[in-house]
Parts: sequence; structure tokens; C-alpha cells
Amino acid sequence: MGTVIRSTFVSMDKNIHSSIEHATRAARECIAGAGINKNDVQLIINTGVYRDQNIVEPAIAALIQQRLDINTEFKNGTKTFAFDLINGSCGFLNAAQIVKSMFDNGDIRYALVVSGDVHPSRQETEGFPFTHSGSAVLFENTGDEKGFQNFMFRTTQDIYEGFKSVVDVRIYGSRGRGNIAFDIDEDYPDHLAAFTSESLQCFYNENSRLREIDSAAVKLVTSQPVKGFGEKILAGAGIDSLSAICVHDKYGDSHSSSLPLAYHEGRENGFIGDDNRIMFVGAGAGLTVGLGYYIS
Amino acid sequence: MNKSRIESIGLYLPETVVSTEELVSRMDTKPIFDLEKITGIKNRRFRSDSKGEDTSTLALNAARDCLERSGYDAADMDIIINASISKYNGSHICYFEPTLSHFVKNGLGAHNAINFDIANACAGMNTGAMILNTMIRSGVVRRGMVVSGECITPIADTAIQEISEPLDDQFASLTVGDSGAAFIMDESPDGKEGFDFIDFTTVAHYAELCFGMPSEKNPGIAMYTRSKEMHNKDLVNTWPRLLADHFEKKGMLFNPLDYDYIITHQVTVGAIKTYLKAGKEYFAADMPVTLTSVEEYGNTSTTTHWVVIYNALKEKKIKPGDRILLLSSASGIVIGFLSFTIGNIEV
Repeated sequence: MGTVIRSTFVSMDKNIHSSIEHATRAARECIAGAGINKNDVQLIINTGVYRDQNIVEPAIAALIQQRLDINTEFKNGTKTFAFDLINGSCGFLNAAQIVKSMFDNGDIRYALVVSGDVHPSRQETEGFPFTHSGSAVLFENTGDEKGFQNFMFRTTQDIYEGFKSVVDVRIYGSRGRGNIAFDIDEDYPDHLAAFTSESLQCFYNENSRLREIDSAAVKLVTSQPVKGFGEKILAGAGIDSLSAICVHDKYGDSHSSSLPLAYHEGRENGFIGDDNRIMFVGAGAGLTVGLGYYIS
Repeated sequence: MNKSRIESIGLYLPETVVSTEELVSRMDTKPIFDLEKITGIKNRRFRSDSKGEDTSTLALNAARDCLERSGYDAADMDIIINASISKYNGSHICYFEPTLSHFVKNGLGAHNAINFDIANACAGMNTGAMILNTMIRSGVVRRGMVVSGECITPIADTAIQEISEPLDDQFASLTVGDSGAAFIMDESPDGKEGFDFIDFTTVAHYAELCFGMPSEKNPGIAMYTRSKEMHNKDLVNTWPRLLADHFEKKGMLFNPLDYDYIITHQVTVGAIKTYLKAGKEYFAADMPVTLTSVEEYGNTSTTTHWVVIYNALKEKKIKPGDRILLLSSASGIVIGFLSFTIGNIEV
């Protein structure tokens, strides 16, 4: 069974400040790009973290499904399930692993993984470390050997609080819908890079198939917490023959959309072609690292 | 393909009991109806601030209770899914990152587990069961835990302060209670015990009927529910149609006699009766016997089905070999079915 990325799209419009709107726009173009009937999308997973007005229910995925007008009522036998999965930039890989399980079980044919992050005030706000953005990735169960092969997820055993985001409802009083506080240590990117390098080494050590491939043929698609993050983790892991894509200069850090964005950009600019070996590496708060090996 | 089952269940209920009468006495604007009579809810639990009870401690207490009766240790867990709506880590501090699942995972010492949070309103834990069932069936994980420490009563505190209209959209917030619940799923040892299906749908036409978010008037989280529209006939009648469709696609018919119990989401006594009546009318047959906990614990949101199951196991109402249908319903609007045969679970 192949868990293959059939189509991707991103929403980077600087005039949009709604996570729901970003994800919806990206999803609309993504589905149009795939040329499928939208009602054939049976699963929508939203991996966005920072949501409009700090909404905690319903799932933002349901609000996106509603705006996409996908099987919003049970009428013709087709139906869709939507939920949110939250794990920073690694959420995309957690969602991909769930989709792969559903495909391997033969449960569904198409799944949509969307994301969107904005400051809860729905305005550009100083101190918010992420680019307001959204993305969508349509997965198809192709029945071949391509697509996502395997995954690994690691966290530090002591929680590193050098990156934390909280809403203290008492401090914000009646302004809880429009506020969130970030506490980010200066050395967070270095700690993150070191733990990510170690995790990449682990992934290589545990995957004999990967070691057999010429590492120069493997493309590295990473989250983008800082400029040059991919090269930094490759140097740390001692496998710098891989080539890494960096979109930080162009787009900054689009957080939960960063892996889909880097992949989308890589496809657009020719960095990624057909039959490429791709290492997806997400890294973020916790510390948390997710890795996924993909054949395009 | 592997079949998954519930291996163990854990529960934690905060000690503080708040009666409906006491809750109403705290309100400046009293309801024009008898809240206890209209909801059937006598009591609910409130977390204790002084004991430092928050989302993560309620989750950890329930998870430890679950592990105590499990054949597994924390280090055996391949995955931990945190499914609460609330995100309190500290009395009034909602964490967005790191995830609550990371705090629970490290608190338990489940260092080998994949971890993430999911959010799907009151269907959170049951959505977690769907994910775990999918991953155990595919063989990518062998066993894992779904956990939720649900500090949902802050919305009741907000409602008490803010309700000013006879038909205020925060009335539903007065029905909730705090709890922690956890269950471990693994491969069925004999193929008989375990899940025969889990099937979820989101009817997103109704996605805006219930919102949870910080209040604009006071410090705290609020929930705004358009209760009348929630109970409109088309929506209430959707679940039997979806269940019938599930069986039709398998070339089968739903037979209520195949189940020992049906357990709905615990909203109010009246709402449970309305769900079951819709099923009875659609299938022209009596629904299986139902079990409830709403009278004593209120609507515990993500954990309701597991509070019911835990207590029914304790009271020996549910016995090994019983076949149970869970009807999940939640803001979204999410409708889900979890059909399983229960094994020999100690509580």
C-alpha cells in the first residue's frame, strides 16, 4: 500500500490572519490540484496549533470541513471524519502515520492533512514567532510501494521548557481570546538542533534500508525553526552528504505547516522530483522530533 | 489483521462533590426552570485548586490507576494519546506547547511511546480509541494508552458569573463535571474479545452550534451552546441513519439484540432518552439496555463513556463477554460508534 502525497498547496497570503481561512484556502487549491471529487475525502486531520481566538472546541478540522463543504450533512452515503492532532511541526508526521495505518488496513482511499497557525488575536502581533500560514496535503492510497515507508518519534526524557507557549486566563482577564505568551530561551535552537541530529542518527542506525542508499541521493525536508536548520542537523549527525531545503529566508517559520511548505516549495523549484528518497524531519517544543522516510 | 481490545481502564474522580442545588445557589440570575429536574443531574465533581488538580494531574492519576491493573508497565506503551479539551497545567495556565501528552508521558515514565494530543471536543477519548484501533490493526503499534484529565468545570464557573438571560447560551455549561479517565488497548488475545468496528463521522453543517473559548467578560474559559438547535430533529435522527448505513455497507442489518448495552454520551437524562427514542423509532425496535453516570457525575465531556463503563464494571453490571455499543456525540457535530466485546477487566 502506498501512502502517497497526491497534491499539496500552501496559503502564505500576508493579508490573512485566520488559521481556519489559511487552511481552508490551501485545502481548496490542494483538492482542485488533485482533480478529485471533494466528497471522496473521507478523513480530515488538522495539525494547526495556534488557532483563532484560542478556540478549544469544536475541532478546528470540523470548521474547515464546513467551509470546504465536504459531506457536511449525511445525505448520499458519503461521509467524512475530521479531528485535530496537535504536536507542533511533528503533527504532520503523526497524521501521516495514522493515514498510512488506515491505508494499510484498506479503510479509506483519500485523506487530507491540513494546518494553519495565527496569533489568536487574528492580527500580526509582535513576539509571535510564527508566520501566519496554512497548508494542505492530500494523501492517496495508491497500492504501490511508494510514499511514506516508516516513522520515528522521540522526545527528551526531561521536559525542556526552553520553548513554551501558554494562555494564563487569570492574567489576561477578559482578553483571553486574543492573547498567548511565548517563553523561548536563546539557546533553544541549539538544543533543538543537537537533539534532532541525535534522532536522525538513531533513525539511520535503525533502518538498514536507509544505510544502503547513497546518502547523496536523499533529500532532507525539515521544519524551519531557524535559517539553515537542515544543514545544521546534518553536520551534527555527521551525514552532511544529504542535501537540505531551506525556506526560512523566504517564509520564516510556518510551524505546523513547515514540513508541507518545504515539500511544496521543493516540488515547485525542482529540488524534489519523482523517485526521490526524502527524509522528513520535524522538530519542536518538548523537545520533540519526528522523522518520516518517503519515496516520491 | 490484528484485532484490538480494551486491556485495562483507570479512573480518577476529584473528591469535591457539588450538588446542582449548591451550584444554582451561587448564581445571581437563577434559572427560571428547575435545573436538577430538567437535566437529571444531582451532583458533579469539581477539581481542587488547593490540591493543585489540573488537566495533567487528573490525567496522571487516571493513567496510574489504569497501569496498576494492567499487565503492562509504562515503559511498554508504544503510544500515548492525550485527548482532553482542557489544557490546564497549573491552576489557570493553559499549555499549548509542549503538548499535555508529553507531560503525561514523562510523568508516567513511558519513554518509548509516540505521543501527541488530539482535540475533538467530547469525542476526544473515543477518537483516540479509533486512532489506536487503526494503528494496532495495521501492526504499527502493539499497545497504547488514551488518557484525558478533564478540568471542564471552569466553564461552569464562568457560566455562574455570566448567565443573565432566561435562555442563556451558557446553560449547558452548568451540567459539566471534572474527571480523569484512561484506557490501555492492545491486540485481542483470542480474536473474540475486542472491537469489531469503530466508525466516526463529522456532520460539519452543524460545526458552529457549540464553541469553547476564553470568555470576553471574565477571566476564564466559557462554552456557548445553541442548545435548541443541538436538539433539532434532523440532527438527533442522524445517528440511527449513520448506524444503519454502516451495517448496510457490510451487507448486514443492525440488530439491537446483538448488544447487551448501549452507552450514549452523558449530556442530560433527557438528552439520553431523546437519542434512544430516535433509535427506537428508526429501527422500530427497542434499543439495548442503557447505562448512565450523568446523574451523579454530570457531563464529564471527553471521559463520559469511560466513567460509565468503569462504574458498571465495579458494580458488576458489565460482565466479561458482554457486547457493548458506544454512541459518541460531540461538538463538530461528531457522531461515532464503537462496538466491542469486553474481556475480563478488573476495576
